[in-house]
Amino acid sequence: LAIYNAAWAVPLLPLLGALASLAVESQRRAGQLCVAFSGLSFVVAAIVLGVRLTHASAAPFDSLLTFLAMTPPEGAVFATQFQAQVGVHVDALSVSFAAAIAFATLVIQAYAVNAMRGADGFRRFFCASSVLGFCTTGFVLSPNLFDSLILWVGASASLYVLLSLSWQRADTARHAMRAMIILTASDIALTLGVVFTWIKFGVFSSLLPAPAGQTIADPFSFNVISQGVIATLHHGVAITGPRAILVMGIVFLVAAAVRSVQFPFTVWLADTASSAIPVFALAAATVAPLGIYLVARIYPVVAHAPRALPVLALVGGGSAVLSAATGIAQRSITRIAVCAVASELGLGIVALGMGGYSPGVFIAFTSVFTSTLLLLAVGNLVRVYRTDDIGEMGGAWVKVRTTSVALAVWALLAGGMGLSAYYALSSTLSGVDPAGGVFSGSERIVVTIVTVLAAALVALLAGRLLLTVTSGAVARRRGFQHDRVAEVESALRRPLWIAIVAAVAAVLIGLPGLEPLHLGSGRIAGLTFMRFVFYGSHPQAIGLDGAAALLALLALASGFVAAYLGFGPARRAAAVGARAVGPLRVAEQGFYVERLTELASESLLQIAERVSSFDVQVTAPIAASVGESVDEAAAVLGAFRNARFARYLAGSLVVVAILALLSVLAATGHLWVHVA
Amino acid sequence: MSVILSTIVWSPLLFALIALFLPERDDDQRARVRTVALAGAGVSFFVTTFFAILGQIGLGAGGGLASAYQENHTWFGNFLFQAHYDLVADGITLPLLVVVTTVFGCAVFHSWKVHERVRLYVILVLLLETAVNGVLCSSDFVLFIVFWGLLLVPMYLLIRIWGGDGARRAAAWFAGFHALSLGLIIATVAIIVVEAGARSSDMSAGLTSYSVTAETVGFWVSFAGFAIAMAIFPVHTWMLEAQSKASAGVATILSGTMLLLGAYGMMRISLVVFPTAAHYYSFAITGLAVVGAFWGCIGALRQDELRRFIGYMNVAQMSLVLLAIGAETSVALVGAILLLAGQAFASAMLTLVSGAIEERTRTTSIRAMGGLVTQAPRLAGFWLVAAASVIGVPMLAGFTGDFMVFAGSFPGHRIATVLVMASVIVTTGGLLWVANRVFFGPVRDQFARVRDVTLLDLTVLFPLVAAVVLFGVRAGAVVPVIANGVLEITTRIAGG
Repeated sequence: LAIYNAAWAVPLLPLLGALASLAVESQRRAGQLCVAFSGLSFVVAAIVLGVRLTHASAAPFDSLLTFLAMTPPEGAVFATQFQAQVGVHVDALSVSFAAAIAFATLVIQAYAVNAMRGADGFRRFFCASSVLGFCTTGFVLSPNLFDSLILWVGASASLYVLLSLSWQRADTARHAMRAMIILTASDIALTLGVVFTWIKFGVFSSLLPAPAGQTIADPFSFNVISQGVIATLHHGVAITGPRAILVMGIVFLVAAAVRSVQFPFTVWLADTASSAIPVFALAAATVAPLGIYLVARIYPVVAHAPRALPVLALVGGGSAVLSAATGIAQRSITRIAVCAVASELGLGIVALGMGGYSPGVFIAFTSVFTSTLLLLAVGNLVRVYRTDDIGEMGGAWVKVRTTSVALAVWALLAGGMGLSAYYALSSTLSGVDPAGGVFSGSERIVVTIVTVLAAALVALLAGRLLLTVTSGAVARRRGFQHDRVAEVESALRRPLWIAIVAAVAAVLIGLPGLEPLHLGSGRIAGLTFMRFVFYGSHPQAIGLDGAAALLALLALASGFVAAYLGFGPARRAAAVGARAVGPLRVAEQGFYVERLTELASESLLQIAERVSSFDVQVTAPIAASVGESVDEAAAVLGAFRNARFARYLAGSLVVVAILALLSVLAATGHLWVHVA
Repeated sequence: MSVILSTIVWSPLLFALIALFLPERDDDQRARVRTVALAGAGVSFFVTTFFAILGQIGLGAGGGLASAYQENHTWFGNFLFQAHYDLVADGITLPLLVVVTTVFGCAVFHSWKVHERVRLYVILVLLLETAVNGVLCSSDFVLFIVFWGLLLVPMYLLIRIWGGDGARRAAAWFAGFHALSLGLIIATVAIIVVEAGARSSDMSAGLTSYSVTAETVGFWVSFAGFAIAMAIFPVHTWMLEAQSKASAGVATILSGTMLLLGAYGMMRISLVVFPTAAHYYSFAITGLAVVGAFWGCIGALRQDELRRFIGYMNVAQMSLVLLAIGAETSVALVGAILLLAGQAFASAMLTLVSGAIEERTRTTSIRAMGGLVTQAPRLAGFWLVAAASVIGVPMLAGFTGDFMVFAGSFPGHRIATVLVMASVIVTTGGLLWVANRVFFGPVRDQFARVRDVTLLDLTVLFPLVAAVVLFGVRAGAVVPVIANGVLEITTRIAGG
């Protein structure tokens, strides 16, 4: 369908907005311009999504441009063609995420127009956030790993620019740097994965028939990789075997784990929390889910890598537990938000790891909306209370009603009503291995226990945050007029309402057991997420799983009850003021991950000291001994260090030039003497 | 008869001769001298870019790439062998010519900041440009040695006369190492002529058989000669010293062109003439690349002088190029050329920005700086663009080069490639940490009146930014041209 070419506009419109914003004199106009372009991008994404929904069974659409191409003469070694393409790929997965991310970018930017008024780097925020929008929407629409890599690294770079908005604050700059270093690790892991995949499937791709309109089958394309994995398992690909698939899977999973803030890589998102709230929101809602999206894109590799799936599930589950535990022990609302985002994405990883492709993707998809909702609410609360310490908040239900409603909706969705826990448990209990095998009983039991624990802890985290902030009265503190606490202006409430509606709607389309909607003769399969986005040729049979629903409800109830008992109105004052002890003390410190990163950088600096002193003590004296002889020779020239020196030099130059000219003329036969 | 290459090589010298006869008693006269020098560098740049490289890209777009620019005339044949005035610009040479002529153009623009002995300064810069262009275009060993030798004196004088404290020592170190490098290259040519019984010093002639000893010795002698020029570990100290003590304009030429010549020579001579030994010792070369990559990026972390920091970053970047040379695959070598271009532009930008910072803050100490972004946001922006290119941010010159080097090196040297890739994380950390310490953080009182970029700074830096972006966005246009040039090397390595 030609209309799918409009998908190009989804990433390009924000980029155009960024460029246009540079040409506008007024900062506010520049911001509004970026919002307008992001809005257009969302509209186009929604149209493409709508078209795709009505043609859900059609083949994916690709539109490609060649970025570079060469034919390596060593074709037999790794590939007959080195061709890197950029473009757009329209299928159910890509358009769903493109629309979700374009929406989140739009809402956060619209919120920031008012929230960041008068803040440092207002124009830079909109310019960089639009470039980030280009990278994130471009990433989800990318047709191959090369294009994905470009936009993945581009997202890291634009996030760094966003994080450096308040560059006069030394701590913000330090956090931006650390976040960028950690994201660079994920960039390098993805680069390695892309290189490794090309090496392994380069020759194989040259044997495949070229798609229509192409000269060769793109070796980086997801389709070729998928075919390559299948062929490898049937011993059809030279120099590649199950071990290579495993290595490939591990490398991609490292990249994805870092990006989707799996423990202990939560540090980079925590670093973004020290920046402005809209920056934090963009990082949490549009960048972090890309990790899971990457896993979904290269799912054939992960699914067929020996024993990779259970490990993936355990990593996700463990990360969700640790992140939620960390969040429960925090007093900073931004830190709690970081942990909430990380634990939700962890549940998505659990689902993907236990073979639940559609559920896992759905969790990542809804996390875009729930994270937006959470972060906008957090932004309002920090603005109203002028602190990020939840111990200094309270009474929001009375004083800050809209934001409290948003927080309550988020708490219910994150706590379990958002289906994250249900789908993670449903995938674990059904345990359908997409590679055709079965998960062992012990694997399923362990992952189920971890998932239930994670779900309960997430519910406790959400409940604690909700109760601490909304119940009781506004905490009194020196220099703060608690009686002047009031709801934010309507311009900041509107995006919040939109985010509430979108988050609820996003969850509703994934309700289990929901049948396709019939509109006249048309059958809109896309209105049930699981029937629209799936792995393989047919949707997974996902009905209502009673056991999973029961366990998820139990986790939700136990978490909320624990939150009420621990942080409800009766215990609130004591609970928020109490010092953490024992295991909670460890959780409060984020399991010492940040301390470990500091230790690592200190060790690196010590090594750097040794390298530097080696150069001073060993290599420099050797160089000095070489240089001394020249210095002595130069001392002879010291006699010429006067006006005569320049004349001698000039004379020599003229002689050299004339000799060179004469030689050239003589050699080319243009002089009466031919030297040859 | 095409004289494009002769024009590229000799036009700077011609304009240097014109400048020689111009007076420099007052500002107007000095401005005239600089303008003449700019014309010399401009002619070279213009001919390279608009005739040579665009012609090649056009040929590539048309489906044919066999053509390369060549001027070949017998020079002398009265000795044991014939020497030729043989200039060739193929797919490897042309992009590098664009790079060096751009950097020289910026360096000549930068001469507007030089106020003492302007005439001598621009003459030496133009003489150096002739030598650099000559090295890149030479296809005859004797001619190559002549141009390589010609690099020595102008650079020595440029470092010594216009450098800061310690410039004398830095110049001596440069001269010593460059003389050593020259000696090793002459020895290499002697080995080629004597051992292969060559009757001609033509570099493209099919030099057939060497004894194992001659091949091994010849390879390592040539490798050492070019490694010195590349400033790779452990022969990098001269570059650190020269980079930190030379004036900003001279340091720009040094990091933007001189290191590139070492890598070029290694590809052109060490790989092509001694392919068997190069292949046999590829493990050692990649090992050296790994050590150098970590040495450069880790060593940089402890530097307090801004330009010494850039010097260490150069060591790390050249190690990536060395990895590609060790890998010997066409994809890696094409990546290496792109990386050289990216490194030259980025390093030149970093050096010019650091020069501008030093000029404004009157200090070279990173510790003493801080908070400059408030007063000089554009300067900070230029630094970040250059840093982004070094890190390998997409759509900038470094990205495609990095990616192709890694892709081409991985099949043969997996562990080395992964380790070098890991070093990029430290490089990223180092560049951002310096940006934090120099530009970010609270404004310091003593720098409250620091001014942002001037029109002259913009004139010097903007072409480099444009080049970084162009090489990043349109890498695909030059890749076929470079691949065509690399073909000769890979064919020789494959035994062709």
